[in-house]
Amino acid sequence: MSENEVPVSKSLNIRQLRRRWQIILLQLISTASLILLMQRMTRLYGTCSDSFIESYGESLYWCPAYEHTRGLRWFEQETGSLVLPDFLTGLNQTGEMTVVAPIILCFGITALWIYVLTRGDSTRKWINIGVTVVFFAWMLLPFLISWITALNHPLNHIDHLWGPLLFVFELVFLGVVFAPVLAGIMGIWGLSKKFLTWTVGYYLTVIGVHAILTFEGITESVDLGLNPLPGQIGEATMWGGLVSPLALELIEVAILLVLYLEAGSAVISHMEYASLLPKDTKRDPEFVRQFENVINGHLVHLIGVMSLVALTTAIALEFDDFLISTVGALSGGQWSGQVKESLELQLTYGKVISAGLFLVVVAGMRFILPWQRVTGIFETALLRFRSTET
Amino acid sequence: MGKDRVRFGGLDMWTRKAAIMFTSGISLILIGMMISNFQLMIVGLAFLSLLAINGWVAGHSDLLIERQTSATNVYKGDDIVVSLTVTNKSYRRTQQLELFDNVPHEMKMRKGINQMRMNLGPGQTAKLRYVVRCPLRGHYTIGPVSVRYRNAFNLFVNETKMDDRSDITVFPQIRDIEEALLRSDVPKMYSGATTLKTPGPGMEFYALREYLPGDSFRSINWKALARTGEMMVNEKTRDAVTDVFVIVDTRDVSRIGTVLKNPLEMGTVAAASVSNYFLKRRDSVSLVTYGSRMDYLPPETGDKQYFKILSGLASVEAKGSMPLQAVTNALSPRMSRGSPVFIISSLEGDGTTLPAIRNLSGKGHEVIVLSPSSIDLERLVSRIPRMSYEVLKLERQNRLTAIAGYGAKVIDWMPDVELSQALLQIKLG
Amino acid sequence: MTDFNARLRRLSTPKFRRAASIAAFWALIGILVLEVLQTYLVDGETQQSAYGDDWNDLGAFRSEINSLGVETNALVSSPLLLSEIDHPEEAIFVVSGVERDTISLPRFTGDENVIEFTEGDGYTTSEILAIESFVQRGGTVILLDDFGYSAQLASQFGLDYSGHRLYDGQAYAHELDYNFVWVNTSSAFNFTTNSGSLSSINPCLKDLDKDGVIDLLDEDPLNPSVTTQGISSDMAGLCAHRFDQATSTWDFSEGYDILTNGPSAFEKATSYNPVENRYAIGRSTLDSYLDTNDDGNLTVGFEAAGIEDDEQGPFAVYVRYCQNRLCLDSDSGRVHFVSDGSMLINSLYSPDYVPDYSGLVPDNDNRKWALDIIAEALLIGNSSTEASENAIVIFDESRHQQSNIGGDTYNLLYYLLIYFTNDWMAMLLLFLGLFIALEAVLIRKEDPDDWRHVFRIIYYGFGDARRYEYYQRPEKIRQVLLTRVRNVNAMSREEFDALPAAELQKMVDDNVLTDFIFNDRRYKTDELVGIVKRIKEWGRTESDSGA
Repeated sequence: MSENEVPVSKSLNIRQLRRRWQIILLQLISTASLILLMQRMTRLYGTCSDSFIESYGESLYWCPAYEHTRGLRWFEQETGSLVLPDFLTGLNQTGEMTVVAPIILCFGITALWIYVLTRGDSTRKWINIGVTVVFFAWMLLPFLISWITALNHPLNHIDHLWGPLLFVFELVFLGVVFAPVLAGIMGIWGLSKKFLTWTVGYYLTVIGVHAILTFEGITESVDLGLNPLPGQIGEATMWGGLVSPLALELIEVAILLVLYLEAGSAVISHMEYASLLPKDTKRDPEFVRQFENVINGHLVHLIGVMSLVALTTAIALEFDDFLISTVGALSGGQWSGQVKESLELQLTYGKVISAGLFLVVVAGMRFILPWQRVTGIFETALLRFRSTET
Repeated sequence: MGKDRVRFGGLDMWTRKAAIMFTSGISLILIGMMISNFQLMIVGLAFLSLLAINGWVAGHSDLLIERQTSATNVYKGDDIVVSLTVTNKSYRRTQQLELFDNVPHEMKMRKGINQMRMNLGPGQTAKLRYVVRCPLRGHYTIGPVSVRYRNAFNLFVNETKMDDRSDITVFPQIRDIEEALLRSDVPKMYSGATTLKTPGPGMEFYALREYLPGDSFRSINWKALARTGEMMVNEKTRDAVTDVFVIVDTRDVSRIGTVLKNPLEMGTVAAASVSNYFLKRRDSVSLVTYGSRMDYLPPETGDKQYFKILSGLASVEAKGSMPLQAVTNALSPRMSRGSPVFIISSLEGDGTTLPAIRNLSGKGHEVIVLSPSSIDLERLVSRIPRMSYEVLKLERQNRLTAIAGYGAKVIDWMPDVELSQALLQIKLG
Repeated sequence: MTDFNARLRRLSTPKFRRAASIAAFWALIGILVLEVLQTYLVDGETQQSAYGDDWNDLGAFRSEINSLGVETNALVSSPLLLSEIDHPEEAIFVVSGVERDTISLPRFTGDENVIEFTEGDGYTTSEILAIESFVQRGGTVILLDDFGYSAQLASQFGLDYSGHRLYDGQAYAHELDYNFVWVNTSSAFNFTTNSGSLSSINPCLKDLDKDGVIDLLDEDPLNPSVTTQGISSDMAGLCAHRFDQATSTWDFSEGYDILTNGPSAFEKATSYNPVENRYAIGRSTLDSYLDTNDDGNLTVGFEAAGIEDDEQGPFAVYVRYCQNRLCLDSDSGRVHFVSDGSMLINSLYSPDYVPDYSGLVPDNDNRKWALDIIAEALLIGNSSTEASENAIVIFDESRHQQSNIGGDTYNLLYYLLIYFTNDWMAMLLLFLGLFIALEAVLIRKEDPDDWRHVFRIIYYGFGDARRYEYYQRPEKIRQVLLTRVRNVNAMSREEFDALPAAELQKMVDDNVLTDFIFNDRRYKTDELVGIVKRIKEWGRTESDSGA
């Protein structure tokens, strides 16, 4: 369209876009958050309660916590052996290394999936059929063969069916922890919004279910042995007295969740826009330049806003302390006295109300702080400086 | 061609995502409080603080938008190049903007695209160029330009419209029918005709008459006024050689067929081409369209008339059911004797066609009826049973024969026949 | 007139009607909210606040507890929060006057009624249950109220407020006036008639070896020869009020001379019931009367004369409830009911507190009584006279008037938040509300459409398909044929109509068509097809030859 076109390498073709550093950076941010999120989740929700562990003594136990090795080990003990080799499930490792192999597996599966997606329809069909046939053959053939060849011992062949069934169970144990990781990676690199939101939904569900299962009212009647989160947020000792260790972990989970979703969907929305453009505009320098502007702006916002959100949430959680000291500093009226000592402020409620108050203040700041004008003037000056320089 | 400034203002609108985030944030906090769970509360808080922080970023800006179009009047099927220049006149970044030039649905995007996502720094400019094709006759407007600020996380949007519009008129195509009309006996009928001694807006003085309301001041004969004390106006002879009347049927039935091939479209092309031909020969052409009402363009010659006719034809649409006879009755006092009349109509659903044409012929007009075959056009869009089709055709044939019987030249214009080819039938008929 | 009509017409437009109904809706909501707020935000004198320093506030009591090293807290929203207290056995909940009602919802009862729609005044049922559960978990409650809204709470523990003013003919503070009634008891730890003194349940009085040193400070609690030598007030901690530093003696008295101000009394029938662990400790004298007819006077009536007389004492003014029998277990929950809301106000608690009344208020044991309860509740470990760091005294400020509207709003906000996240019915409603809100957002909230240029022309003209059938009928076909014949022969309609049949037959000159013209019968479809074909042919040849 335009007389001068940008070189193909810089064009907005999907193939070239996939190699753009901004897109890759966004995808890496998203992936990193996903994996960190999984690690934080395992740390927070992956343990059984002490009393539950004690009740089992030395023997292997399993509670529906967000961790895979415990379940697999327990399953191995119950059934004798596992179909998946230990190096794949991470059972041969300890601690946080146990997740490495499954995560690599997730990446592998995603790569395969994307490869299959990019093939033609017929190839995809054949691959699907192939995988299904192999799986069913493995499931049924040994059973059938042994049944046919040894009709005289009719009772033993059912064992051959167990293997595949156990395999499915193993996959379930693995999947509870790694299904969201797999779906997340597939969403990020395979550009699927559905998978992205599914993962977020899954994690929120895990958190919600864990919260309900560890709620006192529930544990009184059904105790599945999950380790509840501490009831108090604890003393703020980190970040210069801004957050408590527990609060930090919880904030991390929340922020990583949002960061993962936003970075992942940013890639998709930009790709969607690019794919909407007709072929000739994809190499139009105006479009390319504005695309770059938009995506750079997005990156800056993502990083800036997310850091601010983390900071705001942390401050919001500690804002009750600030409130208490502010009210305390007021001359001792009856009301300030009782607010200062009010039980509410020291319990969760105070945290929530004061955090809400803080957020209202933060939201209202947009009307007071002309920060965009300030950065604008700064940017204009910078542009002028640059133009005089050249 | 407009140049407009747009400022964002007002409150940002929340997107669905923001609304969901807000309600689920509040819900998570409250449910977290119900079951004393800090994680739920903190996730809820994080959602709310995401909203609060994002509220800080406003796509508040001052934009200058300028649109240029390569043409304002085009013929059906032609392309228009539109270019939009957007400049950020403020000291702030615009943040993520989406720009969309509202192009009528009837225009087809040929090259480029009429929208762009941008993030303009202070003073930055972006250019957007696209080409649209106009496959349909009519008056259209490109614009206004819609500008939408969308937050990076798709939480808030702020939309404005910049009322910069470019009017485009798409004329029916002009077909070259000179050869066809030369080969047929149409033109020869009028060649060598002398100047008509009838009053009209020409050059040569014709007579003086009394002033009537509506007469132009320029035509007042001031000398006569001074002399007699009465308002007199100069009447002039008309320059034209012949008055040609083109009557186009724009009744509702003329829409039958596809969007690009129907009696009305074929008729406008024919009317435009015929007018063009005669105007070029310095004849006067009058355009009459009838459908829901009658529009009459008095006979005139020259480029101005040509433009008027094309504009008139550009805006017609299939509507109404005015009988032809009403049109000819209204016209007959204004028609000079013997002037040829082109009637372009499918001749469907109007019982007055025959008497109207009979009257015209009877008054000595040369009547040429150009009739797009409506039943064949209908066949393009609906399945007509074979027998009904044949009978309908027969009925139409009867009608055409009857008209021909009154001395009119009748052209049965089939959908797949070029106009020039169809006109050749005059000779045959 | 026209003007009026025009105005009337404007009033009936849908737009106006819509606006009017919306306005009416919001007005209604506004009135409802105001109504609710009005019940909550009542102007009134602030009193009995643990954080006030007026003569009728409890500031002195609170600061003394603070100075003993015990944390004090205010509860500004709702006693529902008591369920969040981690160590109830070391917590004391002080209610001094329940001055107002609050918003409440119907609640689930858990019995056959399923839902209870009416709520009593004062505390809501869920709050009362929260207080009861606090006591069951070992908490101590001090309830000081006379004519306030605490009847519901008391009756949860089986006790009934009389609701009438108590007067005493003799035992009132003569220095002041008849409003200040003395309630004296010499053996506050003889809970029942045959229990004997149970003073050992109070760590400040427990002295097994009777050596004059309480066991907590006794190096050898079973050795009667230990003396108070070397014991200081500081060491006495929470029991310091029982220790006289000057004489180095311990006060082991088990009686209290309690001074009340405008008290009420409990119903005789329910105030003492050892089976239900309710022990009436402090009683008014025999000379006391309850102003049953509320005439503000002592009426010794003559029943026959129709004058309702005032009931004569003694009446229970101080009742102790124990969760476990006789409060023998130090972890047992206790409730101390006193039918006077102002027993611990500054001017009674510490007679010299207000200089204006200095010397006027007689010495009393109100302070001793209160500090004994504090010590009994908080010293549970039997190892130290100091309270542990979990010890906490909570003052209920949620049912007190606040000094400003901001305070009231603040409290209301907290109350709503806590009520809606703790009370089952409110939680259910809130949950439903959240759910509906989320659904509403999901359904109603729409994003602005994505912009796309769409090339779309909707301009198709279809003929009238209904006529197709008509054009297959023989009559129509016949008519078309006849018109054709007429046209080809250039005849007018009249001429053609007048034509004899034979002529016409000649003109047509086709047997099949002639038969078709004259024979009005049913034709099969293929017959008609043939005929139409023939008409077509006929027309062509004729017109060709005719031209």
